[in-house]
Amino acid sequence: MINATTLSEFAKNLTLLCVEDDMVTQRRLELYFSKTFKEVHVANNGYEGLEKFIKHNPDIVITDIEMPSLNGLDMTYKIKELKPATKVLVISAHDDKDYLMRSLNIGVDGYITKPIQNNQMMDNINKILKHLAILKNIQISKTNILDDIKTNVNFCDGDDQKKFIEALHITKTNELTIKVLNIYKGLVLSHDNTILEITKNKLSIICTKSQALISKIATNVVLHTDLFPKSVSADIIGIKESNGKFILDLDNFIHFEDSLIQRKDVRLIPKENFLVKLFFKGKAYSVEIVDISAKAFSLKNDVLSNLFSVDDEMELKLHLPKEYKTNYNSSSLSILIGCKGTIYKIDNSGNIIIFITYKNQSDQKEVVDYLINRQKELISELRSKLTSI
Amino acid sequence: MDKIDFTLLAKNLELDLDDIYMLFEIFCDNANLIIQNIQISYDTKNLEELYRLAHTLKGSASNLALNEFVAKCKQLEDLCKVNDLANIESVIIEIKNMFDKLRTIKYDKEAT
Repeated sequence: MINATTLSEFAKNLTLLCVEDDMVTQRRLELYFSKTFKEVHVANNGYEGLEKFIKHNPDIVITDIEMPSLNGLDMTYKIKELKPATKVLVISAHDDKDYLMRSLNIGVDGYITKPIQNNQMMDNINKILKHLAILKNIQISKTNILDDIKTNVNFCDGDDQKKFIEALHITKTNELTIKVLNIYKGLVLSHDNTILEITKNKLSIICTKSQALISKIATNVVLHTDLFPKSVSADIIGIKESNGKFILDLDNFIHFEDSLIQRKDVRLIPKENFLVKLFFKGKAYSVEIVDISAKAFSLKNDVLSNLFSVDDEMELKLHLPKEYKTNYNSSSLSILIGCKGTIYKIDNSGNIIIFITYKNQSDQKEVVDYLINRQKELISELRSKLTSI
Repeated sequence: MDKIDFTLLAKNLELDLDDIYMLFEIFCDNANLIIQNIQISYDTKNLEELYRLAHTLKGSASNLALNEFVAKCKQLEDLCKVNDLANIESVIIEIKNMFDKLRTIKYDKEAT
């Protein structure tokens, strides 16, 4: 296991970039981290952060979210595109955005809440340092790695199965965390969990109470670790509480085709039977939407599976519900969104995924607004379900 | 009224005492500008910007454990959220008064 001295020595070879628009916080972090890291660079906003990132190639970025011009999350996405191995720690305001933050957490490697507490910040930094140290093969403890573990792992490639199990053991032995994603109607809730035990027929992880409750509603999870590059889906076969700790037992591991970690756009299941009118080769079809993002629709395609193929182009008209609120009342109307679509793929369930280009910028904004409201609605729905359990 | 124990703050933030003095001076300079902008945003009834400024000021002050000042900024944030223009002005005045008192600490740091 990596000890504190090793981590401290390791950090002295690393560079940190701190992106924060508040000068007091920025200077505080710069002063504090100058004692730990080889170099600390600072930036006042996302654009400057991106420039400094390209110039200095830091190992770790610590960033605020709310900043003028480019915000911290958009900057993070760009940084992850440029260099996916960069570790990003996000600072967020501690309020109701907590749930939203968890759902956005998929692209970042940890987050801390304001007011910033040094111990919370250093816990996160140490986790990141451990991951980096392991990836750079510093003092990896590989003891007790059992090659003959027989889980019900169902991978396409036997070699992957062995690597995944090895990654789990390295994670457990070095007390690293594994990213566990619960998905509720498209809303992705991310937690960093530690492994309790790996046995012949299950993987047990220590989770939070809210995660244990969510797991009663959404009965599978997606696992992700830097030590194993592919995301893995697993069934939750048991939820228990022991000595004040909540534990999830997982089994039936399979590759998860869609990389939630790299997903940039929120993709949600709409509330109503959402129909889109599709115009293809002179005919109109009404098709149900399975899920929706700002850039793509996934459409149910039970009847029409033989009609379409990849790269087919079509016109679409979407009736989007919209709430209108005045000081006196609120009403719901639907607005018509016109767009062009190209079939990207037809998945195993026969659903067709269509990439969308909008005819008007304002239409795109309406869809984004719908998704923001839908996300809030799902968070509220989830909360009320959790309190009723 | 908030008091600053610079020595305790230095210990809590794991920084040198001189660093804390510097952070306090940065805070005073920035807060002065932010409060001026808060007044402009209030005069132009730009509550979105007013909320953002109150939020920034709150975050900045929280570094120095100025808890009463932070609470007042939070109150301003909350009023902006519910468009309570009637009470916003009095809270801005309170923030200004609190800040004027805080600034005097800056020149009395040897005594703390």
